[in-house]
Amino acid sequence: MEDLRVYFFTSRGISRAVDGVSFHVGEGETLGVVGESGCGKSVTALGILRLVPAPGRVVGGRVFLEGEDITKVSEAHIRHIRGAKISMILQDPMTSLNPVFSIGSQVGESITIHQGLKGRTLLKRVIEMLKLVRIPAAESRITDYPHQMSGGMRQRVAGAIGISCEPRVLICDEPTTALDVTIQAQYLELLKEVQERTGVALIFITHDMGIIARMCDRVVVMYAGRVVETGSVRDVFLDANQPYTISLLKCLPRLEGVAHLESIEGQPPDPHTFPPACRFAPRCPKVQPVCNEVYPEMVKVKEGHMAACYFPGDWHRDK
Amino acid sequence: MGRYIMGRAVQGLTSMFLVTIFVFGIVRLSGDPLQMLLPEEAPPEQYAEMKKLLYLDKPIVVQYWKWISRVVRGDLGTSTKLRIPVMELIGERLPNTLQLAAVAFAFTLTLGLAVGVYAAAWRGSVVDYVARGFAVMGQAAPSFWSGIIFILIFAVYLRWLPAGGKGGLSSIILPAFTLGWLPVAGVMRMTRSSMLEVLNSEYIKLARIKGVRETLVLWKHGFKNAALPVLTYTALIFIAMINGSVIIETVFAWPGIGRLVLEAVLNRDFPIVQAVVLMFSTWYILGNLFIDIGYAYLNPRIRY
Ligand SMILES: Nc1ncnc2c1ncn2[C@@H]1O[C@H](COP(=O)(O)OP(=O)(O)OP(=O)(O)O)[C@@H](O)[C@H]1O
Ligand SMILES: [Mg+2]
Repeated sequence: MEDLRVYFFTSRGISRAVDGVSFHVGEGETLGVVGESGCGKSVTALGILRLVPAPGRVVGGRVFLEGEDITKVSEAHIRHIRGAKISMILQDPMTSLNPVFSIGSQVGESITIHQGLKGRTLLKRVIEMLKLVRIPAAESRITDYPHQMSGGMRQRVAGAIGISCEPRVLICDEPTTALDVTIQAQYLELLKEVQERTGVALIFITHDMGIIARMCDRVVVMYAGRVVETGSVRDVFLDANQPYTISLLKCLPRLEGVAHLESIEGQPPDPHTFPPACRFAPRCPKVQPVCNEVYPEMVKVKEGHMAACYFPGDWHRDK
Repeated sequence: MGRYIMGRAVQGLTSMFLVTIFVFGIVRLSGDPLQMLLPEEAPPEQYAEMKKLLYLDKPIVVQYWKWISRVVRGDLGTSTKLRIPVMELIGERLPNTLQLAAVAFAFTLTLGLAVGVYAAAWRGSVVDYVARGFAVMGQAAPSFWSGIIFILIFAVYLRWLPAGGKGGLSSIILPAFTLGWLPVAGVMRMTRSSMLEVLNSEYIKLARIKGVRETLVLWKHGFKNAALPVLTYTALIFIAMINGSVIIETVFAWPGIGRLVLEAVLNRDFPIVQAVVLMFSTWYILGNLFIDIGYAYLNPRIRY
């Protein structure tokens, strides 16, 4: 994905919710996308699928799937990609399933749309999918309705819907925030397993650095609609170079130092009135005059590790 | 589901029973029922005959029992003015009213639902604005007034449609449209707002993510949810149409039950009024029953 831009044309002006985001994810890889609430993670995900709600619009950028730029293809074509090649699990299992259809029909729907299965073969596939996400007694649960299931079960069903057509890319938009910790751990485990079996590329959206550390190979840190740092999880965690990433890591509770738990000063900027240059500058503890002039380009810290900061690392090291 | 239907049926029967008590009681509450059931100039022998027919010398429970068993068999008494059995009069007029109501109802549902769904899907478009304007007018204009205006425009000036009476197919258009306008407006507005809420939901987003076609997103995933509250509202449409028919049939000289009952009220023809009240109530209770069952069928959270 290159330079994706999604703007909302609201009555208050243009809201540049996603403003030039680039990243890539390979087969069998897990990419974490992390950032504060409102930084544009979900909008990025919907932008990939071209499903940004009005008044929003993808205004620029290219998204390549297996070499094809899907921002240019026809509406009918992208519909064949949605659910089949790129799929998504939404945040809230309580509201993301349709209350008036049985879970069997909801899991089966995309299989019918994209693979044309019907009747008994479809039923078999649906049961197989529900078993894959470890729904107990899957055979008897396909006629159940969402309200008859717990949140954890529903999120598994949502997971089954996501993987039902064996997509190449599965976007998980904070799929576990609504679940309690034990269920959350089980669910993450499950996603990993599915990935091993199908080789799906996972894009894992979260604001939980802990989950990133546990789940992901690489990470993209977003701030105010832009990527501020990206690299392997190991590099970013051990040698964060952008002040926002560093602050974010400090917010992580640690076993040895819970007392030092910090939060980042100030509020993220309103996407209608982003600062012209570095968007983190108003909150940055090490801000320099240049930071308020031009937006810093991404600089290479080492192979595969980039940060958008004029003083990458300096800040970190003199601390 | 079976138990639910049974329960609702029992409730329906209870309501029915209360209605019959009411209709039965109202004649007796207001003093001598014979004075109400017979014209003022009735001869004494008719008076005596009626008294025997109604078992007025027997205890009230027996009177009710005798009356209700006649009603159940379809004997609703005789018009005091026209001297024709009420059942016959109703049988003659009912098809006309049903025809009018059916056309108005079909018009209400198709137009109200379809326009409501698309007004929501294309919010802020021309369709949306026209639909909302149409709805506001429908809800603001009283039907006797809009009826007269339609007659003026389409019958008097343009001469496209007949002004009243029941003739060919064209004669039903104006009355049905007038009768349906208010409910269309209601259904449209409710469908629109209900649909707007549904379209904002996560499960609609998920349907699109799955690659479902937009038409199916609207009608399968969206409409089935949005229709639930609207369906209940159709119960109110029944009342609106029943109440409305009295006025509309008068404005358009439509020979239905509404006009029959209006004439009966003016003539103090009590058996007719009684029978029609009983019939409208039954109609309403049955309508509600079907709606509840339909609602349960659509909404799995009730079904189980
Ligand atoms: N329908 C909309 N209309 C206008 N602006 C919107 C709309 N949806 C999102 N935005 C803007 O896009 C920005 C990014 O929202 P997004 O949902 O992507 O945040 P997020 O990073 O997913 O946050 P969270 O962690 O809370 O899910 C928001 O700040 C908001 O201003
Ligand atoms: Mg989000």
